[in-house]
Amino acid sequence: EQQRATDESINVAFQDLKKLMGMAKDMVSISKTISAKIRERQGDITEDETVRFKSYLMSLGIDDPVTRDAYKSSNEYFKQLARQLAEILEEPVKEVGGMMALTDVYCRVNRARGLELLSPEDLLNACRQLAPLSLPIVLRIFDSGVMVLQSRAHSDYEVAEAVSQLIKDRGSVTATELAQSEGISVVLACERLLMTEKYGKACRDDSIEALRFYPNLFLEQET
Amino acid sequence: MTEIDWPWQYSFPPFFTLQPHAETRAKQIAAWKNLVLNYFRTTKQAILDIREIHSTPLFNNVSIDSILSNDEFRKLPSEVVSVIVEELAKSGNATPLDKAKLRWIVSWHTLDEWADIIYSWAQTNGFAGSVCTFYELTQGENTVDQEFHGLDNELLVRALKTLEAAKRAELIIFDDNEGVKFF
Repeated sequence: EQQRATDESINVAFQDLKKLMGMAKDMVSISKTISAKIRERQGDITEDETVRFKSYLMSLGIDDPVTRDAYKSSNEYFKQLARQLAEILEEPVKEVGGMMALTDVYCRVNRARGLELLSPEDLLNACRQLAPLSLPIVLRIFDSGVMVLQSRAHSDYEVAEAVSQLIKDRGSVTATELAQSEGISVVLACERLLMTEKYGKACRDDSIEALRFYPNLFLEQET
Repeated sequence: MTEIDWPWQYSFPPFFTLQPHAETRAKQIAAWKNLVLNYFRTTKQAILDIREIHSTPLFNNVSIDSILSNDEFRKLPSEVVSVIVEELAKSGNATPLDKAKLRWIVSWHTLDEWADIIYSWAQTNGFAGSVCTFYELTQGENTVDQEFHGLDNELLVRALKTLEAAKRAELIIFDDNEGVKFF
């Protein structure tokens, strides 16, 4: 008897879900027509309207980056989020040496939040707003694809100088060794070494032992 | 074999990894070019076979300490050797012998330079109009103090052929006799 009642309530729940999805589908197709219309007559619509439309899309969870990017750099929501990120991360980023990998940021923020968690996309989109809003931390994407938040005061050149000095003192260094001595993650240590190399202040020895970085004697030593 | 005067780069491990930084790589390749030419001059070699580079000390430094094992020493990967010979070819110091570009003639003088050196030797020593065997030219007593003494045969023939093309010599090759007549 009880089992049948449970079955029934589950069935009802699923039917409701199906209806809900049907409704959402309509919303999606309508919003696609709207975005097509917006595209057709760009000038006629005020900025505020497109912003509002974007927040509708957001709440539906529709990914329509082409049209969304075409009208405004991003949603108000991201801007607010970006401000908040800058506020809570400015100090921690400084503490870890001016640079924090985005995965670490994601962990920190969500662990601190508890509820109302952020999706990776939201975090990334918010981070993209940091620079336009001239906040004290900015998103940086390395050539390798690694993304970090770095403080605005951070200078690549100074870091490269410091790393090259360290390489000189030690003779040679690997990413792991640098990570250990500087107390940073291996990924970031690797990026620092590659950056130092890019400035011509280090050169590499790629053997089966490891990728080691040496002082750039090719440029420093006159033959 | 004469002792090679190894440059400092030879014992610098990054020398054996192609550097991604453009300016650094230019310096590295220039140093390699010098070393290769110097090595070939000192050892009187002329043929570089990319399949055999693992047996020459030129591209394999067994003396750089390795932390893991003693078998694994610094060697220049064959792709990088190819890059270097291509660079040598640009300055006229290397010529591929096959289509796959695996065998190369490498020389610190270009063929034209060799041709001039040999020809002027022949002129000043009264060999104009007479015939010399290849053996005489590269191993004979008359040429001991000459730069082309001990020159690789393949290189010699190519140099003489440029002379022939310029109508300044004629190659005489039949059976086992190889010689040249200077004009």
